[in-house]
Amino acid sequence: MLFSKIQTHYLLILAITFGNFWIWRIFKDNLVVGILLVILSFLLFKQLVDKFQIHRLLILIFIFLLISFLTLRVGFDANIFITSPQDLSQLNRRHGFYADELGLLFTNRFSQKAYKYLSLPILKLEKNLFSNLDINLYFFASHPRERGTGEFEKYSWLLLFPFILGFFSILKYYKVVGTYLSSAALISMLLNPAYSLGPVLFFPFINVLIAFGLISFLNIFKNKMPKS
Amino acid sequence: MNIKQIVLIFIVLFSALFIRLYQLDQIPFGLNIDEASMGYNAYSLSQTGKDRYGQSYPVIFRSFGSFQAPLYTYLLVPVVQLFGTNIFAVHLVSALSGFIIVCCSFLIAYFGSKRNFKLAVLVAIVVGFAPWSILFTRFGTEASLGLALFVLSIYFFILSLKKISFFIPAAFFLGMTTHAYYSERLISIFFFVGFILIFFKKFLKNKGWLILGTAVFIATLLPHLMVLQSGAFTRRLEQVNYFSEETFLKQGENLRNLPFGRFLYVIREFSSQYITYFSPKNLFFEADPQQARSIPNLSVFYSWMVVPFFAGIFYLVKNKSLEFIKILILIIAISPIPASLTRDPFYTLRTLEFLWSVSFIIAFGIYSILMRIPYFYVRFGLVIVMLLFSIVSLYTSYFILFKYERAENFGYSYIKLLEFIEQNENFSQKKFVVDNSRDLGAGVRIAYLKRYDPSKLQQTLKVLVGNKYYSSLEFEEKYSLDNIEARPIFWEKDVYEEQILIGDNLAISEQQITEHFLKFEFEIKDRQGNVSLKGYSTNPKAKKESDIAKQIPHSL
Repeated sequence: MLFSKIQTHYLLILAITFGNFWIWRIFKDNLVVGILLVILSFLLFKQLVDKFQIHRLLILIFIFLLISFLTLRVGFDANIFITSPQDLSQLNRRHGFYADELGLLFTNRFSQKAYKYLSLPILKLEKNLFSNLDINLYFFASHPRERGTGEFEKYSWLLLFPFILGFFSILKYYKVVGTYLSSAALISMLLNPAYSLGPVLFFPFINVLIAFGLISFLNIFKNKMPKS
Repeated sequence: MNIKQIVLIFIVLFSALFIRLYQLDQIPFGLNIDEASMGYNAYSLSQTGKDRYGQSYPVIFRSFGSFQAPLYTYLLVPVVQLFGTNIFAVHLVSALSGFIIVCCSFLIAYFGSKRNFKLAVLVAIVVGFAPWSILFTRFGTEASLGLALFVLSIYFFILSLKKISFFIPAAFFLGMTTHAYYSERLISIFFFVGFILIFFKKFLKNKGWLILGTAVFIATLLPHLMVLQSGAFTRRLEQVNYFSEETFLKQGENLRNLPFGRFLYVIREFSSQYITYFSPKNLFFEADPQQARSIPNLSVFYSWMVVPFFAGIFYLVKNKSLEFIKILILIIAISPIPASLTRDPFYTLRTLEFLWSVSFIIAFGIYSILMRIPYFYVRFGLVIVMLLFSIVSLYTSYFILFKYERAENFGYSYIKLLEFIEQNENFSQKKFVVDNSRDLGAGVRIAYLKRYDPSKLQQTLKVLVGNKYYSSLEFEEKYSLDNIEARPIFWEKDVYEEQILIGDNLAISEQQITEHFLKFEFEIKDRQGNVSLKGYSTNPKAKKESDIAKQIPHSL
């Protein structure tokens, strides 16, 4: 064979990392973040397919934190702590409903403070968190539930199928993948949904999933081919 | 099961029933257009044996140019006879369906997991108290009945794996789901075929039961043949699909320039619609875009359930060889298909089977997480905290916010209007025109609550339908109910008659009030305290005099 199995896999992850619309948009906007994301994708993939190496893990964590810092510096969602006039109107209206129905349970000091100062920021953080956990955001520019904030198709919708296959094949690495996904989700929660580059910390994760999906597909195809 | 376990499951089931019956006629207070239609048709059937269009025992019920599956309406007939024509009666069938769903879910999980009681109780709790389950089993919707029958059939399918004779009731109930709601027409066929394929080896040893069960299933589908060639059978899909050339040309974007572009467009559209039902954002945060099908601040599951959701997927994949899990995977895969064939994004009502199966995934996740915690008091504490958090979320979002903010989706103001008219002796001799431009169901809702004589309404509507009951013909339906007419206001005619015109700010503007000499009589407020409807009496004499002064010919 011209390439070994390992080399094929690395070629695959490279092809996926550069073969999507998202990375080129990132390069255009911020070359440094783009390069770091490419490295991070590669490192994350290696972390799963190769033996555990502590120095690689440390580099991975460092690059992850660096990207987090660079993106939050520009795209931090300050609206989390700002109450718009519409928000205020809704808060006041609902205040009346809760007061009527709950009485002292709601009108006491503690509940009032929690409602006034915490309820809205928590809701906004939740909104940011879950808006990034939307598969359609990455493959269909949020269609059919477009947000109207300049979404763009980050990956071709044809890659959805290997993505799904990759999700199931990567489950055995749930500790690493789960930790990465949770960390990316929590950091991206602080990003403004209208940030031009999108939730970039998910970029390596999706690349790895698609790569695993394609590898699984190739393995299935190889097993079904008659042996000469 | 020991005594403690029996007591525990009894508490869970009783709580599930209680939460579905508590203030059932108050939240939501009202009836949407479909509920009012089913309610009145049930009343009409109980009195005359015909629906409001004068059709005897329809195979499928016509309603404002569309069609409703029949089973809910027929089940409503004895309920309406027993409890009267009120909100409670219409909601009750859904509530009882919800209770059946919870009971059967427990049994499915218990027998499917080889009597794992803890897992089964968790399933019952998640199914019983998930927001989607509460919402859709507290107002009248055919989908809840469809799901109840589906879940009942799944229970029998699971039993049939041990004793093949249960395949017959399984096939029967599965076939009956197709008469309960639209989505089940496809889901039931996919499931039936899928089930046989998955357990084909078992059926090879029991060919007789397979043939008999298939015959029973097909027999239950036979009534559909009566309307297959008419517009009624496919009307709903025609209204909401995206397969047409017109849609492709409008939304196909760059695919319009490719060979097989329309085919690719349909595949892409289907993929985007299908995957949207699996998206954590939609399941755990952003609810159905339609207000009538969503709870404020809550999606179909509580947001914290995203964690056990992922854990549950892992559990599902790890145990995929179990028979019960194979059935669940089949349901998860096929249940979003009917909804994905439509262009409405995340239409929850069409995917209750899917939401039900996701509840199982979440319960598996909760179970696997709890089993990893070695200390009983930590597990217990975690369960109590999550339960309390969920109860508080549910109470504040559904029993408070939903009650106030969604009341208008169920015609709250129109019901209050009817109460006002009936309680006010001054209006007993007056004639009313209620504008229904923004609420087509106003007329049938009033007819139902007033127990309006069905034979009189049939005389009006039958003339419009003729002998084309099952065709796709649409026409404007006028509801003249004694002294109340529900229809759009005709300004060139209505202001010349002595009557009270009722409508919202869009129906009756300030300019029209001045121009037509209308006199303010009363206002009706919605549940949030905002004025939603206003009543104005006409002044035909002043209007005619004004016309004469302006030399305008008036119509009578």
